[in-house]
Amino acid sequence: MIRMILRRIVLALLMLIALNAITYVAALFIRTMWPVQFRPSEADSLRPTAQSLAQSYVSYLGSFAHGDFGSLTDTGRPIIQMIATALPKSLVLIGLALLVSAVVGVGLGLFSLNSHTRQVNPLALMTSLAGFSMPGFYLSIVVIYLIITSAQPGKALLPASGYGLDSHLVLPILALAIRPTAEVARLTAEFMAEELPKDYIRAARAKGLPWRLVLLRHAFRNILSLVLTSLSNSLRYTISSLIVIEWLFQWPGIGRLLASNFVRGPNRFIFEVEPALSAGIITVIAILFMLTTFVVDAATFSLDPRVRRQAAGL
Amino acid sequence: MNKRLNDLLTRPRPQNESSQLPVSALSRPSSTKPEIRRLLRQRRLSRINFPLLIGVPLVLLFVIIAIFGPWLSPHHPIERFDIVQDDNGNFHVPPFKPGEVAGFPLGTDHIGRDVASRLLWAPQPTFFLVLGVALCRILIGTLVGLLEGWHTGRTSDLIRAVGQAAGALPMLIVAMLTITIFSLAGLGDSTGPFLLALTITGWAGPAKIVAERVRLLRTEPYIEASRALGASDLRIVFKHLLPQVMTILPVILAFEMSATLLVTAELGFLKFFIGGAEMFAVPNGRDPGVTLFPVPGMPELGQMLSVGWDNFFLEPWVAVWVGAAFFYAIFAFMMLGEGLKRRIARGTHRQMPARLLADRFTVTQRVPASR
Repeated sequence: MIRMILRRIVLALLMLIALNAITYVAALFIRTMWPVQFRPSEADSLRPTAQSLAQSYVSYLGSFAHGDFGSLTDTGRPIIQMIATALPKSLVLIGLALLVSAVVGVGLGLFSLNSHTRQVNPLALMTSLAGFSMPGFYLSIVVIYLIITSAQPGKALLPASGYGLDSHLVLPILALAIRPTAEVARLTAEFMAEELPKDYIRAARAKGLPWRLVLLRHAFRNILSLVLTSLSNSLRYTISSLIVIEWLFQWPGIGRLLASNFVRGPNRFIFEVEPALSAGIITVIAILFMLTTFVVDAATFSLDPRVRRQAAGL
Repeated sequence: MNKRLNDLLTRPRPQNESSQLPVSALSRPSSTKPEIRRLLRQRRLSRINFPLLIGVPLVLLFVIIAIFGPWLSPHHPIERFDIVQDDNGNFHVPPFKPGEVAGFPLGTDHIGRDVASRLLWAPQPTFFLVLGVALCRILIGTLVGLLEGWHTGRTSDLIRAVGQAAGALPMLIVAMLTITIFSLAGLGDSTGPFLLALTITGWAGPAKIVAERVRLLRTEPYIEASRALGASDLRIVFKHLLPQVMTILPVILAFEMSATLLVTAELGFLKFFIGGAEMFAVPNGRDPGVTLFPVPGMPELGQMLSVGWDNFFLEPWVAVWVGAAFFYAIFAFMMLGEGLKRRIARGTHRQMPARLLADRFTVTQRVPASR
């Protein structure tokens, strides 16, 4: 068991180092090569050699010893400081979105179960598929449009963008939570539909327990670990679309920090890519992802004796 | 439920019940009958494959528009319309609102191009890109999955670890990095980089499913038999395992199309779209010497979304229509995949276990004879 955990940790560390290195070198390459498009005559002098790339990567590694994870090329601002201010703001969004999708998703899933036939309502199934197909940013575009068109001058129902731990949270969380919610709802309903014909449910009903208690105390406990796993799977979508949603709402988290490195447009230059910043943020996101997977695995392990038995058997 | 239904159906029916009923009671029959009828109806309903029934026409419509859209469109996508005077003598200046001027049901953008025509032209490049990406992912995924599932030990472990690592990365970031790098390498038309970026981030999903299926199948007696007959590994894999895997590939294709469309939409929103190289450089006084403006030419869904969001406060309907088109396409392929999955699952299992159906990509598998 301990050996397995150690092996997993070592693998994860190796993966993080490789990811960090690849991102750094790729971003550095982009930064140095970008001006070539406009000054083709200087291409030869601009093109980075393998040696120069390796050199700057080594100096980037050296910055780890100082604990600042490199610094911005222009201003010399340490990356760790930027990430430390941005990360909590993103964590608030992710955490609340996951919480909302867990609570609302499970609730909707139980609600969409026809208690009489003990099967999933086909209409609910299709609604949840539609919800899962809805890109979060599109939902927010439509809502922003409705808010803007319906607003009286000077007061709107909800703020259309910006940072704040109040009503500013509503739209980003709606956009982030829509897909996980639909997924959790659909899976809860389908797992339940499989669980309900079983004998122990019949026994619980025969004892005279109310349906609500049968659902929550008996059936739901058995599918809890599966629901948790599906929630951790949907975290991948949430983190991936975090970039888009933070960019859309100008939420000053790590997603926007990363997007501001890559997204071009009027008055934005792509050579503003900061290698150390990109590598740092992508590493942080990967760590976040691994931690969540680990926490969910641990929770499943402690909640579900079947999983424990399986792990002991392996 | 079936048991209950059978109880009801086998219960001895009272004789000449119906003859005693008055005609008016036909609409409100006796107590057991409506329950039977309702249960029968529900059983019938639960047997209908709604996702497939809805998904197939939706996907067909999308594919027809993607292929024949350019012939259906009333105007050319980059034809510009100027100020129009309607019958009442009022002047209309682009951007026309939806329905403001006759002949432009979805309005125009700020330089006077018909949004409906652009929307009819736009799905073509997007559809073929997405189809290409899904096919590439499946091709690579199937080969890797066969390799991973067939081998045991180190090879399999290594492939699985790489696949997990690829799966753990946020797809969007990797795609953004790859596309940027390849557009720097002088690939002006950026369909190639898109194909590559979206393929390398997505091959792990199909590979995992194929490997799981192969791992289940490799203990089957017929595989053992063919090995006993002296068949080589290659022959067993391609002659005996591949056909078994082929049956689930349409399901994976539909889901991959849907997933790729979603990533394409998000990338388009972040200004990464096919033909993204069409940037218009205006000299300025600063270091690189230019400021870049995106110049939307021939339409593509991601590009229309990007430009639509840029001009959202001038002409919000453009982004709304294009987003709706994306949602429609994603939903259509999602339904098709779900429907196909149910259909396959029903073929192999009379009663399909939800646990096997639940994972988005898991297709119900035959349990091997020997455990």
